[in-house]
Amino acid sequence: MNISTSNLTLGYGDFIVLKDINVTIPKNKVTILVGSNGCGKSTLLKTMARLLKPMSGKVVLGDMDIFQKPSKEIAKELAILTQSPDAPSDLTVFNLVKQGRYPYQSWFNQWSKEDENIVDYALEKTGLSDIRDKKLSELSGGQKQRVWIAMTLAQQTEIILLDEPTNHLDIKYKIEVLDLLKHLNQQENRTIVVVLHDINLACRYADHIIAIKDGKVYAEGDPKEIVTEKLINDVFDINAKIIECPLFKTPMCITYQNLTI
Amino acid sequence: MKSLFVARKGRLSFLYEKRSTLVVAISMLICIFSILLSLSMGQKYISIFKVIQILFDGSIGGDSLIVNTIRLPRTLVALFVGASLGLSGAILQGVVKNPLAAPNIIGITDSGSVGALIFLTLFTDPKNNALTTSIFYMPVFAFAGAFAAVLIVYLLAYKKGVTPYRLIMIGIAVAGAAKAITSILIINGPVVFIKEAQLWITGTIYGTNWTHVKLLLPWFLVLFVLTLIYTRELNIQNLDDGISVGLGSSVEKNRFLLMILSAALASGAVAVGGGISFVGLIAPHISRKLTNSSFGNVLPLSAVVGGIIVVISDIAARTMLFPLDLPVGIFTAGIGAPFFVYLLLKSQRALRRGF
Ligand SMILES: Nc1ncnc2c1ncn2[C@@H]1O[C@H](COP(=O)(O)OP(=O)(O)OP(=O)(O)O)[C@@H](O)[C@H]1O
Ligand SMILES: [Mg+2]
Repeated sequence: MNISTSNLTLGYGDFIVLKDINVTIPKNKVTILVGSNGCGKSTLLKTMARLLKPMSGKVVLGDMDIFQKPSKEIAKELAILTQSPDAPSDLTVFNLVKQGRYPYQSWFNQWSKEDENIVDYALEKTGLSDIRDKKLSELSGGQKQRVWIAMTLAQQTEIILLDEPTNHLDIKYKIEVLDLLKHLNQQENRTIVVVLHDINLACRYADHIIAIKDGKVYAEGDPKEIVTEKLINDVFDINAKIIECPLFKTPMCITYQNLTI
Repeated sequence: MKSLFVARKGRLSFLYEKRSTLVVAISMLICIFSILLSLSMGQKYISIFKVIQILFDGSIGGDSLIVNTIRLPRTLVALFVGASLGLSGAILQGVVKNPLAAPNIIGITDSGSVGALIFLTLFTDPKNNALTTSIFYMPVFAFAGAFAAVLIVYLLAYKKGVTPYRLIMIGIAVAGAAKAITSILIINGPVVFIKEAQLWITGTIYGTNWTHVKLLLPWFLVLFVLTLIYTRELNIQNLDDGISVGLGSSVEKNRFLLMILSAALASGAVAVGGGISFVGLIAPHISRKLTNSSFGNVLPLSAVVGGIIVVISDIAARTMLFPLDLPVGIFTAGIGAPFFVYLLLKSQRALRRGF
């Protein structure tokens, strides 16, 4: 299943955020969206997941305009985790993760064997099996974040869009979540699109980076090819020195404002 | 999987949480007990065993007359008014994603009052302070007022769909306007009217009979079944809109349908019982504390807990200051609130979003 945008113009009211965006998300790859606060990463991601109607242009999923497709069918092909979603605190982990099965269920078929297996798998993958009956109010920020990821996994979609899934996570869980996404991509051939603020982790995990700046795609491609000092300077408005990461051989940015502190 | 009970046959499959199902069963037993208690207490004490005998044997005589024609209809009205309010509150809290929402917050109760007062204004003969028509038409007016309020709130909140936030804000405004109209009607109304109106606004089921039961019961049952059919959608509504749409739910359509269900339930209760407060707020809370936020548990439990609260409140209203028969609305808060506080204190968890 391919997803791409054609001449997308996005905004709120008459405030235009992104103009004429044409991107094709590479199939079965990890794509990471980067850009400064408020540049429109979430806006783009939401539109690709039919949560936001474009001002003009369209999102094409498979061979169809996403807004022409039945929403439940889309939910079986594409899952989205929005930026810091809220959920009722008296919900248990299991209660929430099981909602990922919603598009597959009906009133008569509320809990098939398949639902059960997939929810177990999602809990297992995110390391939540032991706390499945805990209420969300009893979890740490990082655990909660993993519950949301588990819910999107339970949707069993080929495409997964995640908006800052590593928010609230300490460095260990950050790496764990990104490793998990990479694993889903490599072992299960899923197409993953992530919004991420940490440019170094983006370079490490992305097969493809899309950098957004001033309502446009500033650059896109393999991080090794496109991430330069100029890109960091233009996109994030900060100076950078780029070296090669000794472990992963990906670009690593040392960012600074002034050379004297 | 130990905590779950799964029923599968062919392409049918259902899931129950064992503990929550047990909680619902126990609360139903408590509910039955409170009904029996309500039938046994009053001016004349009739033992619970006798009550059971009367109910099942249909034996005739003085006691059976008291139970069958006076106490039973009143108790059933209490039960279904409470159940309707509890259920309505649970649905509303899910739809607006806010555990502080209740039917009276979005103007249902106050607009019901306006309807009831319009009835009293139109049909009270100022010369002899008597009604010119049967009091039985009052619920019709109350219902119309309450239901109209929800439609108005929904229409005013509509701007390419409605957001929970706009629903609440406009609901509060409509409730405020309705309160103002109520005051105007009371101040300008005839004197007898003030007491009648005040009773109604506090909420009373004094003098309800089988006619009320026959009106309320089918209404409640139909809406209850519809609510159960929409339980899955309500679970989805309770999440962020972005997540709900992402899961493929028709968020706007379901929000509208669920609002109508909630309004219809509350309007029915308000029409018969007047402005009984607190039940719609507290019953869903208690239910969530006893189980979890999954509406498969919260919905049936809210109905049962709401029923229990009003039935017990009515016992108190009838017996505490006997021979005074106080409006039940005075006691619903008095009985619901302490129990709720107790539950809050017992569950010593961090009170984050929406306790
Ligand atoms: N619901 C909304 N209504 C009006 N304007 C909005 C809305 N959501 C976002 N915006 C505006 O659109 C622009 C892009 O917002 P967006 O959330 O897409 O940024 P972002 O790149 O995800 O930023 P961040 O890194 O902070 O999450 C911002 O200027 C923001 O103020
Ligand atoms: Mg964002």
